[in-house]
Amino acid sequence: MKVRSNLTGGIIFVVFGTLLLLLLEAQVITYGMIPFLQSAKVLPFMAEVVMIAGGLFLILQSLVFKKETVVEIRWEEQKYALIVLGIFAVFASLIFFAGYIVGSVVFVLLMSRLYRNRNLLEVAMLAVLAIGIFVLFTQVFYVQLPAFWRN
Amino acid sequence: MSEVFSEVVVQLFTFTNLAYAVGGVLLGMIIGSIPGLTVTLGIILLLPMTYGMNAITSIIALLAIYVGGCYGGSISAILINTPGTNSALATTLDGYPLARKGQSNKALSMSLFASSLGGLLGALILLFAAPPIAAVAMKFRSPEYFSLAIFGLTVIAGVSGDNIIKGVISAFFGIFIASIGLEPLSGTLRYTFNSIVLFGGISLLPALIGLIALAQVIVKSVEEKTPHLQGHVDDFSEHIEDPPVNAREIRSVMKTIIKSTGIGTIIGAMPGAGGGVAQFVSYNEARRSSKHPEMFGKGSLEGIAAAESSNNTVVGSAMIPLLTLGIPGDGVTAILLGALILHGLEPGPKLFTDQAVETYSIIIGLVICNILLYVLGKAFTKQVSKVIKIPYKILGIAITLFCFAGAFANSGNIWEMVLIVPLAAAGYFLNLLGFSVIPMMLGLILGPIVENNFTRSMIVYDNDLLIFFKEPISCGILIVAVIFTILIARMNKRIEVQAEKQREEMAEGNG
Repeated sequence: MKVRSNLTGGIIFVVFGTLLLLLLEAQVITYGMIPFLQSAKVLPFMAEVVMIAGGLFLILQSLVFKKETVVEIRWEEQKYALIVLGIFAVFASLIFFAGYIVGSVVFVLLMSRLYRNRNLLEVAMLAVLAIGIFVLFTQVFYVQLPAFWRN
Repeated sequence: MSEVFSEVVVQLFTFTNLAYAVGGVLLGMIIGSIPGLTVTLGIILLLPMTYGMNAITSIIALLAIYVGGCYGGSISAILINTPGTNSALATTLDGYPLARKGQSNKALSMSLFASSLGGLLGALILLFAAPPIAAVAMKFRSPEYFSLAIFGLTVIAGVSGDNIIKGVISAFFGIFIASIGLEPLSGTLRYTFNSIVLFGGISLLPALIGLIALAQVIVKSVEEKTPHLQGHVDDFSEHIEDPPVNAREIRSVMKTIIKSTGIGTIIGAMPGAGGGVAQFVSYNEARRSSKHPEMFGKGSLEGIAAAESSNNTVVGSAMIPLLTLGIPGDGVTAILLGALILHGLEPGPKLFTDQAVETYSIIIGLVICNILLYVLGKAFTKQVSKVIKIPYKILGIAITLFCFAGAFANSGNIWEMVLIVPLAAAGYFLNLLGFSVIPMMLGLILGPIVENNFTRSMIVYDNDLLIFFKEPISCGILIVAVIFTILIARMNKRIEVQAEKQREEMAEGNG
C-alpha cells in the first residue's frame, strides 16, 4: 500500500491538534484572574496551534505544491511490527500482574519464537540475562522491580 | 578558583568514577560498533542505572559512552563497511577499502589515534572556552533564556530528515507531551483526563525509552523478519593481524587532525549540526588540501583521520553550548541535558559558579575519558570487533528487557512502564510517516524550559509579547537562531545528498 506521508501526516496532526484545542478549556482549568499569557494554558495552546498550522502546511505541500514523499507500507512487514507491539503489551501486562521475572521469561520465549530462534542455549542465556537484569536493578541500583505475583 | 580545582581533584579522582569511566568507554565502544545500536540508545539504556549515583559519576559514565561510541562506530565501518553510528559514515569511505587490502589493523589504529586525539583536543577546548562564554551569559534574564530555549529548538533543522515542517510538528508534539500533568508554577492539571496515571505527567525517561529505544527495536525486528531489507557484507572482523600505523604515518596526518579538530569544534558548537556533518566537512577539506587526493576513497589514512578526529571533537564542542547556555548541540547532548537536569544540575551560565565543582569535574572527566579511550582501544579493539556480529534476535530482546526495567526505575511507578508501549507505537508509526522522533525528544526536554522562562517574562514584563524583540540580547539570539536554522538546513541537505550517495555505493559494494 502506497501512503502519501505529507498528506496523511498533515491530516493526522490537523485532526489531533484540533481535538486537543477543543479540549483545552475542559482539560486545563485555571482558577482566579490569571491572564492567559501567564496561565498554564499557554504552552499546550502554542503546541496545538503549531501542530494544526504545520499539518495544514503539509496538506498544502501535498495537494497544491505537489511536494510529496510516498511511503510504501507492506502488510507482510507491518504485521511483524504489530506482533512485536502486541508482545510488548503482553510483557507490560505480565510485569503488572505477575512480576518482572515471570514477564521477562515469557517475553524471551515469545520473541525467540517470533525470531524463529531454535537455539535453546541462546534462549536460556537470554532468560538468565532477564534474571541478571532483575538482580542488577534490585541489588545494585536498589530499584524495587516487582519480582513475582503482586499481592 | 584554586579551591574549586582542589575540590574537583577530591571529587573526581575516585575509584568509583574511574571504574564507571572505564566501563562506560568499553560499553560505548561495544554499542557504537554494533550496527543498529546507537550512542543515543546506549545513553538512554544506561540513564536509569545512574539514578543511585552522584551527579559527577553518572554524567561521566554517560559521557564515557558517548566518547567510546564515537570511536566504536568506526570499527564496524572499517571491518564490515557498515557504520555503527551515523558519524562514522565517512570513515567507511577509506576504512573499508583499506581493510579489503588486508590492512584493517592499520585502519583501526589510525581511527583510534585520530578519535582519541580529536576527542582530547575537543575536551580541552571545552575546558578553556566554556568559562568565558558562561561569564558573558551571566547577564541573561528570562527573555534571553526563553530565546535561548528557542535557539535550542533550531536543532530541529538538523534532525528533521527530509521535511523541516515535519520536524517542527514533531517538536511541538513533544512539547505537548511535556505539558501533560501538573504544571509546576501554578499547580494546574493539564490533559490528565482525571486519570491518576497522568497526574505526574509523562516523565522524560519513559518517553525517551518508548519513543526512541523501543520504536527502534520494532524497526530492527521488522528488518530481521524481512531478509530483503538486509544486505550481504564482506566481513574482515577475523582478519586484524597486520601491523598498526607507524610513527611516520601518524606524523603525516597530524596537520589533517589539527584542521579537522578546528572544523569539528566550530560545527559541534552549532546546534543541529553534530558529528554527522563535521565528518563530511572535514573529509572534504582534507581531500581538497591533500597532496594525494587521488588516494581518497581507496584507503587513505588522511581520510580516516579527518573523519574520526572531527566526529570525536564534536563530543567536547557540543558540550560548550550545553553547559554554558543550556542548548543541546545534537540529539545525544539533548539527552545529556535531560540527564543533567535529572541529577539536579541546571545547565546554563550559573553552572560555572553555583555548581562549579560538578561542572569542572565533568569537563576534566571528559578529558580523562578520551585518554582512557586510547588505552582501552589499544587493548580491546580486537575483542570488541568480535561482538559486531551478534544477531539482532538476541540484541533486540536484551535491549527490551533493559528498557522495561529502566522505565520502572525512573519513578518506581509501574504505570510508567505500561505507558512506554503506546509511546513506542506512536514513535514507530510517526517514524514510518517521516516524522523523526529526535525533534520530539527535544520538545520534551526543552518544553518545560521554554514555558518556565516565557511565563516568568510575561509576569515580569506585564504580558508584553514583544519583550523578546525589545531586549537587544534576546532579539540578537532570535535572529541568530533564524540564520542558523536556514544555514543548518541547507548544510544538512548537502551532506544528506553526499551521505545518500555513500550509502548507495556501500549497498552496491555489499551487494
